[in-house]
Amino acid sequence: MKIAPTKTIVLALAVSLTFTSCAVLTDSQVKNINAFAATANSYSAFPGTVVRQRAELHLHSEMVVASQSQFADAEQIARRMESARKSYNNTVQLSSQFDLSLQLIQQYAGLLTKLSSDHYISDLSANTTSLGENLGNLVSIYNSKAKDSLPSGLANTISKVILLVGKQLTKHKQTAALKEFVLAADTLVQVTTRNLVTVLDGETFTDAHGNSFPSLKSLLAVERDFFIQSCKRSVLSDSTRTNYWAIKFYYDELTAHDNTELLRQQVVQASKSLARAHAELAKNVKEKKDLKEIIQETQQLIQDVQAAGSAFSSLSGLIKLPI
Amino acid sequence: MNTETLNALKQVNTLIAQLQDALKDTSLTPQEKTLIRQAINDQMDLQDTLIQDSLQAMVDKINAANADLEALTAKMENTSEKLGKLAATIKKVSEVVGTLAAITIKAMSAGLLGGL
Repeated sequence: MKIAPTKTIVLALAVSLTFTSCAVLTDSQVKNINAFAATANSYSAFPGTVVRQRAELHLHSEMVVASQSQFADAEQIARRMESARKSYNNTVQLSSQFDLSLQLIQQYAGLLTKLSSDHYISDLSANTTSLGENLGNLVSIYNSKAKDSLPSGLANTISKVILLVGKQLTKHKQTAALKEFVLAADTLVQVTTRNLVTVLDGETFTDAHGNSFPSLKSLLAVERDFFIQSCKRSVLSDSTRTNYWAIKFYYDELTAHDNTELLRQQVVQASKSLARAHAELAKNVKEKKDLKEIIQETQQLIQDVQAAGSAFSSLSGLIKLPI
Repeated sequence: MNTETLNALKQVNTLIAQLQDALKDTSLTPQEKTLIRQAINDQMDLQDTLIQDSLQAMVDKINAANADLEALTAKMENTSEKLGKLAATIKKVSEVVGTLAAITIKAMSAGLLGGL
């Protein structure tokens, strides 16, 4: 029974790993958390962008109203532009708050990446190399002096045990924390994305006091109608102002309205995909199943976000100042 | 109280259109024109107010869960710090074992632990 210590250590290690592995995320789950986090990181700016785009279009509509020839009164035009400028600045300032909740989800996703990374474990691997060397020397010296020699692989085994137990303990704690956070965050992510979709989509929404407000979708539609009615009355029905440039301005503005609406739709889709992806992540973390489906979800989300990004790029240069 | 901001906004826009049409009437006196221009400006201000109120309500709704999200991320930061400390503790244990091995090697080499 001289070699029993090695076997005992290996057996103890195997038992230890068997018990602790029950609470350890699979590598694919950890990878999926990272994929979700990477996707969330490329997401956040869009709702605020749609709001800023709408503010710019509204500013143009105000200019169109003020430019009506019969409106021509220096004082009234100055008053209108002062109000329009103030309203535009207020909206731009407010627009950043549309992204706050997504920035927090982004921060959460970043912390998920940090918590699921193996940097805690890789630190330990570096340390056990010198430990293995010292133990190896110790075994050699012992064997040169003792009658009953120790197994040559003992130093390596002890070194590996310390490394594996350390890794396993860290991974176990890491996994427990990740599970707790993903499950706790799911409710918050679902509520936030649902609220986001509610105010961006549909026709109206109600606040905490029961007041009804137009959704961003409705605001964009009303804004488009207002631009058309104002432009027809101020520019297109005025023979002294109707020319190629007036018509081109009208056309470009309508295109910009349509693109803003398109961008809004893509933000809504991306929000829904984000919610679905996190729900799947939470479900899989809970059930500890293979994450092929969630990988597909995440890939779909990446495609949605990329599509939204392309749509955003296509907007630049389309908005022209009123003639 | 349930205020229907969308309907109010639509009504304001309709009123602005009517005032714009009214302004085209060539029989208006200068005073009447001034009154209509002021009315258009007032309605445009009201339109801006309704839009701002709507946007503010959107922001409030979107950010409803922000306090809880902030608390969660703070907890995650704390946990990450604890995990770092755990890894550091394991590292220390490993270092202690390594140091003990080194001391034992030196003691054996010096013959202090020679009687095996």
